[in-house]
Amino acid sequence: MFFQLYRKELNGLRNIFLTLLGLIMGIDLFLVTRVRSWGYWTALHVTLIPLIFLLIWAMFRAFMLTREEWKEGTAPFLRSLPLSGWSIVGAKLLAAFTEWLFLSLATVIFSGLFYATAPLWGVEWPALPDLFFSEQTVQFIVVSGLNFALGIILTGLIFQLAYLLGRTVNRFNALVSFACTVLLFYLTAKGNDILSRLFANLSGISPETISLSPNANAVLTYLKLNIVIMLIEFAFLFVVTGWVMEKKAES
Amino acid sequence: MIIPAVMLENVVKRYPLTRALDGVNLTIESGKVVGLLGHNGSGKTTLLKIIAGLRTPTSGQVRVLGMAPGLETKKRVAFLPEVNTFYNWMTVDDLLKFVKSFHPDLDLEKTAELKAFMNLKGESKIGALSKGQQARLKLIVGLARQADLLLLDEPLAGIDPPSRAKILHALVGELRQEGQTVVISTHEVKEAEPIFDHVIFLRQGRVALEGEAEALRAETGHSMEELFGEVLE
Amino acid sequence: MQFEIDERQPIYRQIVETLIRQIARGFWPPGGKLPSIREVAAAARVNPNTVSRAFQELERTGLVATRRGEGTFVTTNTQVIKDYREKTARALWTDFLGKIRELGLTNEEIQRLLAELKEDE
Repeated sequence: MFFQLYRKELNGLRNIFLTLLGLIMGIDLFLVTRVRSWGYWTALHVTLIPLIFLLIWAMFRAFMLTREEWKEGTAPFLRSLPLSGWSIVGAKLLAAFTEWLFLSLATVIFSGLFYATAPLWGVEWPALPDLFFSEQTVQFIVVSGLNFALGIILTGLIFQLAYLLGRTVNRFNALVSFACTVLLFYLTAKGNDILSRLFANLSGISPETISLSPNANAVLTYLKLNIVIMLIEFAFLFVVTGWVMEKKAES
Repeated sequence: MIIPAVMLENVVKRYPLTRALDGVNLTIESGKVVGLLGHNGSGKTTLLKIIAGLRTPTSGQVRVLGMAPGLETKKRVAFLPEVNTFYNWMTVDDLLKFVKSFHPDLDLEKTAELKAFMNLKGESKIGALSKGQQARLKLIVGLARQADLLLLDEPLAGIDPPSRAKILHALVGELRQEGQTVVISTHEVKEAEPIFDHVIFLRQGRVALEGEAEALRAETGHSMEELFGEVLE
Repeated sequence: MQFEIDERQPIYRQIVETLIRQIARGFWPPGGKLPSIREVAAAARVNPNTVSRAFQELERTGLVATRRGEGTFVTTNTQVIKDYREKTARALWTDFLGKIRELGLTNEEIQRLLAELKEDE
């Protein structure tokens, strides 16, 4: 049943997904025409800029998918199905995440193609830097990637929860959502701080040690710890959001 | 003892500035066709949504098929809201497939029959349907399920007057499942009244009058339409 | 089969009365099968529950009987139908007479009026 719901969400966002995919391809084609005036290297770097936009886009996506149900008037139907609030919230988060993953992947692939065509522009084909394959670099990339991914999901969840809390009242929905967004961001940040201090006592690495004596290993451990912290926060917020979706929101 | 389809005890739904329901006591017997009658804003929709489990009362007890509203009751209840119910980007058949994946009790043979009766094509995009066609689609989704309790919020809105009677009678006649309880909210009493076993008049979040339609006719010598005017003005 | 329903009066009673009238007239002959509850409901455009109640009421008069799985049949005992017809006619007549007497007409005047009406026909 969760899968059917997830598939519905994917089908629902297909149009915008394709538009964005087209936009990314369009940017790349535009850059192809600019290689001569801007220079190959500038153009290659610009092909990666959509990644930043996608990061911000993905944070709002789950919330947008939730809001649409209320705006389009489909929320009562959806919530009358024998579905737990958690599956509804989860399907939207997962769909938003899938969209982000695929669009980011597409951006990177197009960028790679751009790189592959370097000789066409009379540019020396640059060798892949050795650094890319060092074990530590790979670890860094994976751990930062997970941090980004979790950050996106966590932020998406916060927006979603704030929106749903706005739906527990019949007036001033937007105001309540706004206040809840601010409050939830503060609480999540505060929670993150408290948890990282708690873990610091256990692991001996705290934000202070990193800012005082930054070294790759300490930063890596800190980032790994942050993954655990965000997972804990996510689990907690997810339980609350699902409950609000099922029991407290009104449609 | 047969469990009543719906039991409400002193149900209050309060919002910061308004009171949607102000102490409702009700018992809806299983197998009946019930008219929930009242003007706009009388609390009909809120009442149906509380029964459907979409809203939680501020206080009071709700029992649907003997249980508190929740996932278990949602499996056995079909609730069709008043407006814009479904996803515009789906086709009629997409929607039926979607519903089927959550409600295995959806009878696909019956949906085919109903599509023919309601004059709807499976490949039509829901967003392109007229208001009347959307209303028919809602009825298809509700009627093709073997739900124990069918809740219809203003099902006649948007349907042209000549078709209303036909659809209403099919609804309680050949289309209804044996023993199914049907609650229909409406303010268009004239067309609907011959199909009601029981009527509930709601005014400002309270039950102004309720009873068996036939008993009310015998007692008052009035039609439900006349009572509607009398009780609710 | 046609039903005129007045929503101000209990619907089941109107269905009972209509069916009794039809049986008395022979529209549903002795031993014949009555339409099903669903058919009556569709014709009268009312709830089948209401018709089912009307049928129960009708059975109580002895004019019809339901055979399980087969349907509802008009009694073969024509005497019952005849008695019922007379009983109903008598009731109507008494009612009518009462109203006429309220106008202050004597028995002779009523007789004369009836004779005149017969001639007109």
